[in-house]
Amino acid sequence: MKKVLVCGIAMVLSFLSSGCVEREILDDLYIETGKGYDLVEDNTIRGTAMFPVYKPDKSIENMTLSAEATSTREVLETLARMSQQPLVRGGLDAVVIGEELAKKGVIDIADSLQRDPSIGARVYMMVSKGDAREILQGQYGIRGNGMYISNLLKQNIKRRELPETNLHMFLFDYYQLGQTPYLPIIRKISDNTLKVDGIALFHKDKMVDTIPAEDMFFFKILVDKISEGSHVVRLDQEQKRDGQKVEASITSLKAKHKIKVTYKKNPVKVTIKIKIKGIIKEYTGERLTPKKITDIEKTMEKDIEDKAMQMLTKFQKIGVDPIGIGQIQKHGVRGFDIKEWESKLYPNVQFNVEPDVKIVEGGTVE
Amino acid sequence: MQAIPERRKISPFLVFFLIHSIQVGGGVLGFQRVIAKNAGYDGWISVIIAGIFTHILVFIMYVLLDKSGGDLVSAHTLAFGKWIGKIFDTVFVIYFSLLVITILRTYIEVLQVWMYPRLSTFIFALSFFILCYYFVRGGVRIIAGTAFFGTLLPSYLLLTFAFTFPFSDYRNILPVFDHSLKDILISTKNMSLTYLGYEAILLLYPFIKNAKKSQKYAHWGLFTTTAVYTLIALISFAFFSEKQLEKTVWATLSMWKIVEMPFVERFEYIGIANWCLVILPNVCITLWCASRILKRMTPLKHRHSLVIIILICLSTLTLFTTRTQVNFLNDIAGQIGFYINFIYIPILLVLVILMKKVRKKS
Amino acid sequence: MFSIFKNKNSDKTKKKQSYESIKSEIEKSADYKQAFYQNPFTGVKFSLHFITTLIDGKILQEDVLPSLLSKDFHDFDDLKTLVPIVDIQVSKDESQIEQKLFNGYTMLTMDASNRKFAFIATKNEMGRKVSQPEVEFSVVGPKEAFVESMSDNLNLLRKRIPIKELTVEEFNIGSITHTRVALLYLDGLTDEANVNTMRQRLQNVNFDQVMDSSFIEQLIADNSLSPFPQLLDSERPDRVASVLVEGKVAVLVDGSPHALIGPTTLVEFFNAYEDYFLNFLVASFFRLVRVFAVAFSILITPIYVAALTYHYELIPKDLMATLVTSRQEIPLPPILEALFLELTIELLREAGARLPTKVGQTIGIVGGIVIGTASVEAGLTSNVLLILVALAALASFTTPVYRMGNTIRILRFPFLLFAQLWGLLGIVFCFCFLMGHLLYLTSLGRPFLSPLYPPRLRDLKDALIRFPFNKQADRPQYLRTNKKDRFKFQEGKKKLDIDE
Repeated sequence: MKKVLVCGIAMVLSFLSSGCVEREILDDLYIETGKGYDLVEDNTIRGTAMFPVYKPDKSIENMTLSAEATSTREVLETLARMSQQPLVRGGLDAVVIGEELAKKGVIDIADSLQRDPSIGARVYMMVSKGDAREILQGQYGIRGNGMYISNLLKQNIKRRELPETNLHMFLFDYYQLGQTPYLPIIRKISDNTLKVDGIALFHKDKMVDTIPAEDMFFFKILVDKISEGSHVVRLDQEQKRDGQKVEASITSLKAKHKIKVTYKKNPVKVTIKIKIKGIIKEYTGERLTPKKITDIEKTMEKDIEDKAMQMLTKFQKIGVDPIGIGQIQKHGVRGFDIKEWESKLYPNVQFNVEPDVKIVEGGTVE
Repeated sequence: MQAIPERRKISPFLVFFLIHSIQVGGGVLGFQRVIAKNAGYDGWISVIIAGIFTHILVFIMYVLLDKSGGDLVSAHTLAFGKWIGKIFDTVFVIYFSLLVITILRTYIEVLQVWMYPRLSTFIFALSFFILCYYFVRGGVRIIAGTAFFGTLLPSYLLLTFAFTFPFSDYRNILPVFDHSLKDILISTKNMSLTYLGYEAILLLYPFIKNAKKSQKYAHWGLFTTTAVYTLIALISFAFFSEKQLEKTVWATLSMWKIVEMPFVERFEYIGIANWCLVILPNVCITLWCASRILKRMTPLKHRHSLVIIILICLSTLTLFTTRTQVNFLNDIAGQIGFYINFIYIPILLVLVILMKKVRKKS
Repeated sequence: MFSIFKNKNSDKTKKKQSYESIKSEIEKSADYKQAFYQNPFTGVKFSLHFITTLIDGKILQEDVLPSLLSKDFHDFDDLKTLVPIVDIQVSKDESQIEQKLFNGYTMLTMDASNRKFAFIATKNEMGRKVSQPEVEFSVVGPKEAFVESMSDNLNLLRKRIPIKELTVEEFNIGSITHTRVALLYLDGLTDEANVNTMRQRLQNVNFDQVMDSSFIEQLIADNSLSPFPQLLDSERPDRVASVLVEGKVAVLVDGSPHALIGPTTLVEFFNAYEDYFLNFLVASFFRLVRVFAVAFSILITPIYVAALTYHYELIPKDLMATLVTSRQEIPLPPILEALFLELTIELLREAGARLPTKVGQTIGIVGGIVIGTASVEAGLTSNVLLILVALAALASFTTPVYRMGNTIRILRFPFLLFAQLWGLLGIVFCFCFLMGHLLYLTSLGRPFLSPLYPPRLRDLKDALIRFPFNKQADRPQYLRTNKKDRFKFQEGKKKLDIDE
């Protein structure tokens, strides 16, 4: 009986003190699903918090709050003060960073996301063409802007040409020696449509260059272990009667790359083997003969080689390494010296791209 | 030492769960950073080496127990006599109490950082100790049961690490042996602190049926622990880049952030809450050890010595409030444990053997 | 002199009670009758004493009286030859009078000088006929259930185990009710220790009344403070016979249609006896469903409370809109909302259980639908929670043993409180307490969690899942039976190759 008494007293004590633990009741919160950062002046950042407000008829209204301050931390606090209900970040889906701010550096933002235990590692970070606030203030889809943006990216990653990305991968690349991070670029087309519009390349945490949307297919082949996507091949030799070039749209089912590094210094030789299995989705020519298929394969291989080489040399020139050649070099040699690699070795790397395209199906008609 | 009644004893194979569950505690949540500090991504080698050392030590402990014919306290009496022996007993009481405090305080810190910033240390510790008292009161049989369920039920957590695979790059651990042997050994020492706790066997020994047979299971327990730690180390090395890991205090928890299931958006909260089940046997075993030594060296009843230890732990525990203090606590407990295991225990074995011979002659 | 209110130690005083004093006490009751007769042939005077409400008048009139009055009746010795009734006892012991009279015997006395009594069994056997099991109903398999009469119940068991090893030990328990209690086991097979524990505990019972086997269950439980039943009760004679053969001990109580079985384990409470009638795959699946249902039933509302009060991060985004819109109008915090609904469901169940069957059903349906819909519309509860609570209630009914089902309903509440206190951590914390409690529990001194802990791999063959019968060659280890094997396990025939 004594024991029961002790337990009882302890229970009462802990219940009395239950105020010690913070309660966050779901319907009394504003759950941020999107967050935007813009650079307004040289030293002022404007933060925008977007959260869904659920209407009784189950429709969702997107609300935004904006505040300006000198640091991201201050922005958060000002925003919290402006909110009627506690603003919590645990449901964050998308973080949009204005282009101007991205050029100044994004690690402060990434670090604040990483530091907060309530924020998941699958949050999408992205760079916006134009104001981040503009993007968040639209009304997209019926399930709220946060869901819309994250589904847009998810779809593009799974089925289209956007390479895999999220907060964790960004940080991984940022901290990894011999690799630089990249983020998707997003653009507002109309008040209720967004578009993935290229990829932003970073050096350290500063955005230095972009890859246009039409080259994303090649970029994805280079950076992702396994990728999907589609590419349109123009056959130069053949022309239709009206003078237009024959085009074939190829969807790659499975693209794999293998990167081989010689590990020897001066010059380091890198061979990138790319294997693609694809199907022809559209063809504007008349008949799709086996010979034409071989033609298409050849043309596509050439496209890949040209584009990839073009990209790789550009990376070398501006000193970014989104593919992680340096990282592979590091895995191969003991006592890897990152400074030597960045200043001397990487700019002189000799690339060699060996694409291998196989078209397995030509569609249901011949 | 009074004979232990048969109904208080446990089957030898339960030693597997006792050893394993006392080794896996708060350490799993954040040991990666510690071993990567010196040995970098060769740290997994240190995990294995430290694991081998634990095997050697447990082997020594079994020899010691065999020679002294009882538990640690009888070994002390044999080696130092009744009164000096008690001084060393006290050291062990302090050590085990320190372990209790460390384990619980570290867990509370995780709770405060990750889930409830305003969780009161005292209230939670008090409730947890009440829970522990309830278990330890039942003796070794109940504690072994806790260890058993505390090992089996949360074992599903290992599966959740599969979610990290799509984001992992296993080439990260290459090149192997990129660090000097010295660095790897320093990491080995740091790792061996995470493994601590298996010296509980020194006191559990008389409570095991066919105690000698249990050695096999103790080694299996150690092996499983080493395997689990190595596995988690490898997975987290592949998941984080090296500098990223340096900044990550609780790498295991951060890895759970990537887990996403259709019905659960974020997993780390479930993981941390479940970790309570892992911490429980850990605290129970150490509490039992501390109170058992106290019982053996004084005329106190075990139930009373348990209450005393709990009160001491509870009052000390609330003194540690900041992360630096908690880290300091971890360091101290680790250092003491290291010297006790690697230096004191072998010396004790030599002394026991010597004293046995001396007594025989006289 | 009110000996009945004294304990067994007052037996001696009871013996000294004289015939007259007993008679004077019994005479106070209106249903006590005595009748005086004289045999017309021999002129022997005798009297019959009986309690009219207990005896069968037909036996008295058609069998006893005609043979005593129309034949040569001289003395007690003639009784056995004259009266066509088996159970006739002649005794000098006055202490037996009370017991016999109140068990439906008719007492025959001659004249005052001859202090001998004859007791003729004229008991009026009242009670139900053996009928279908209602609590443990099964679609397939035997359809007999125990009834209130112990002799009928023993008959049902003996019929199933027709061997001499089936031992029945009888006790009288209850200082006032003197209820007959039978302890059953298979001699030479069941572990002596279990039988002794049970016998000891039955003998030590110190209570004035035993109205049902559940009295015994509570009186001899290992831990009487526990919400868990520690002896399995069953109304199925087939189940009881089956566990007797397995090596367990059973207790029958006169007046109770439920037998008690021990030592039992936690998993046994989730096994329906029907499992053994079904194919092992189907049975195993059902068992797992039940275990899942129990976990669901206990945990789902606490998880709802925890997630909504503390862990909004856990909730998938797709679900968020549903949850928030359904809760928007509700003024109550999740815990009160949950408690309100849980109590409503308990209320409905309790009302349904107390009312006559037909009204009860109506209450259940009307209450469920009307109150549920109304409270959602009035904004007192969210419809999500309504679904969860209803499912949890449904899930709790899957436990085959009624008593365990009740325990599970209760268990939900501490979990709810802890969930409110610390969220998910609170749930795990409460689970730890529950685990500790279960570790402590024993049934007849044998661990309650067996075969899970202490782990006995071989016993798992018939725990959470059921293996086919030919894989169940040995009896459960935790019962420590004297015969380990059920049957000699024979190596299967060599498998034929495809073309053989």
